[in-house]
Amino acid sequence: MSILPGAAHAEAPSFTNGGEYSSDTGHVLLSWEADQRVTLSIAQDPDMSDARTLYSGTQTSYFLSGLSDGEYRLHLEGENGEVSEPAILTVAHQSLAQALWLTLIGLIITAGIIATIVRGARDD
Amino acid sequence: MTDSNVLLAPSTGYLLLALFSALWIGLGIYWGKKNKSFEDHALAGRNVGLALGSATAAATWITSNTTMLAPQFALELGIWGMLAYSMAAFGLILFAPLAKRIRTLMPHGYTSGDFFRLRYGRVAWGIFMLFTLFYSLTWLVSMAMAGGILLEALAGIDYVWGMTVILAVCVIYTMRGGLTAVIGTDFIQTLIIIVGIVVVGFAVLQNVSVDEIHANLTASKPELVHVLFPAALMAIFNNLLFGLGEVFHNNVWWSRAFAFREGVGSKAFLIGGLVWFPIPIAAGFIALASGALNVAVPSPDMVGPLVIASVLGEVGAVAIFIIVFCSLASSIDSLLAATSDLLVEDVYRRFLKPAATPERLKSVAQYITLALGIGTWAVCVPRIGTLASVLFFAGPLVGAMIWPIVTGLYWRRANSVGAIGGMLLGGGIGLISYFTIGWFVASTIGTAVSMVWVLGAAWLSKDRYDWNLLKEDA
Repeated sequence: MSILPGAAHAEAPSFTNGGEYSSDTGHVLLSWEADQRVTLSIAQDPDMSDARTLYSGTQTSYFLSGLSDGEYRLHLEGENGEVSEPAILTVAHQSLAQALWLTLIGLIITAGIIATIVRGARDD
Repeated sequence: MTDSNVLLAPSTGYLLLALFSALWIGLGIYWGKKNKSFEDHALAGRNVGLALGSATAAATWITSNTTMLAPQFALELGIWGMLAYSMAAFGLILFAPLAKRIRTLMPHGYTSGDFFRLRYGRVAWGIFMLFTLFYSLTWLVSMAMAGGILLEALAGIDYVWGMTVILAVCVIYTMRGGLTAVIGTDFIQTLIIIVGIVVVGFAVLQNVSVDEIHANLTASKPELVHVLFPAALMAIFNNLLFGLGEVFHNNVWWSRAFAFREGVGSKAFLIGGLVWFPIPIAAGFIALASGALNVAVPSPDMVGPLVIASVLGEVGAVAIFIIVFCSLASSIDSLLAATSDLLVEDVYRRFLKPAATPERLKSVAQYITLALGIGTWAVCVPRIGTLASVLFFAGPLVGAMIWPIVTGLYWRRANSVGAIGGMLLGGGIGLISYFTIGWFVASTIGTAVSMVWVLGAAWLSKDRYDWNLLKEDA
């Protein structure tokens, strides 16, 4: 008879939003439900052959950032071996052309503000 | 990565809370004894010197967002994100020449609302009031909420209790001491924050080298060190323009421009900006070290406290508790004072009681400070929204006010058609881009639209403004 009946009947951990994530910034806040300690892993290969551990502990959320474009698979494994359904995270960053154009616009606006201030009031 | 225990013992948290609350309130009451009139209360007698002026500029700009959101920026947007946050320093640096100009054009001025009313008329003033009150109250609410959330996370102090104590302390010493107390406490808070951040930065470097941090980021978070990270690139000028809009329009900064002694304003804002510039970089660096230090982050706005507690243990938790309390107090008090003065001067005195005595105005300012505190508390209790999303919603609105202010201070041909259209179009289109693209473009787009409209209206205008109209008697 187990001295930890809760652990013996623990349900498999599960991601809270149904396991579908997408991001255009390379970061995402993952959250899950679990009544036990879990290990969170990430991989790009469908068979998880390149999996690496992100976190191990009793938290129920994890902030993941800095990912490049691609499709990622996330797994939660409970301490008694039960594994969650995999979550799929799709990262597709914003358009680089759009980013460069907006950076240029920002630069022009800033230069205009500085020029206006430096030039001062010439028509007093 | 494994769990990190970041909690300070609640008894230690309550003790620190009590000690610093007593200190700020005591100083507020002491400094408030000299205040007799509204001018003393709102503008510290227009006699603030360079040391206090520089410190209050830096301290007010060091909000809990600087110490908490800058690490979040770095964790989300990497090296560029860290630099993007520090770009807000240009808000203070570029306000330096504006402060001198403001003081010259408006020797008797009280608020930024005075400028909009006298320069562009009542309609533009009304739009400005709507935008600035939205921004100020949003900032106030986000600070108070952040205080409650952080005290709960750091020391297990109940959210409502922590938020209530921080707000109550700031309301009490701002009511009693006015801008003199705000600036005086800012000076002490600046010293504490800077020493704290420097100590924490060195402590992190004792535990992990820059090479290890870089290797970890390259392997597990490659986009954070990528030069062409789209969202981060867009955030650079967006944040710079957001910072410019915040400082250029808000009465927090205008009241200081009026309060500083003649000739002090431009130097104080320049020094304040230069002091502020490295702080988000130091705070962001702490976040970038989280992976190399094996700190798991359950929520991005907690990365700073988690790393510091991981590196320094209980001493670190005490340090971050004090830094957070000082950052929050230095911003909440300034916002309470400046918003209260704006409402007293622009609404009560100009519209309701033009003949009110200086003593009466001071008393009304104190009651409005109290009402702002109570209102903020009521909004914060339900704990809605996140730090970043609440703050950045105001980005396009403040960005749209940059060009009406800059041209209004330097160009006689700048006019109310340009100011009104610039604020409405820039704010509106900026908000649309906030929802359709993201927060990291909203200020840039809002400012760009406003700029085109304001410049077009000035170009076509035949009006030439008489600067003497800004020299309205108090």
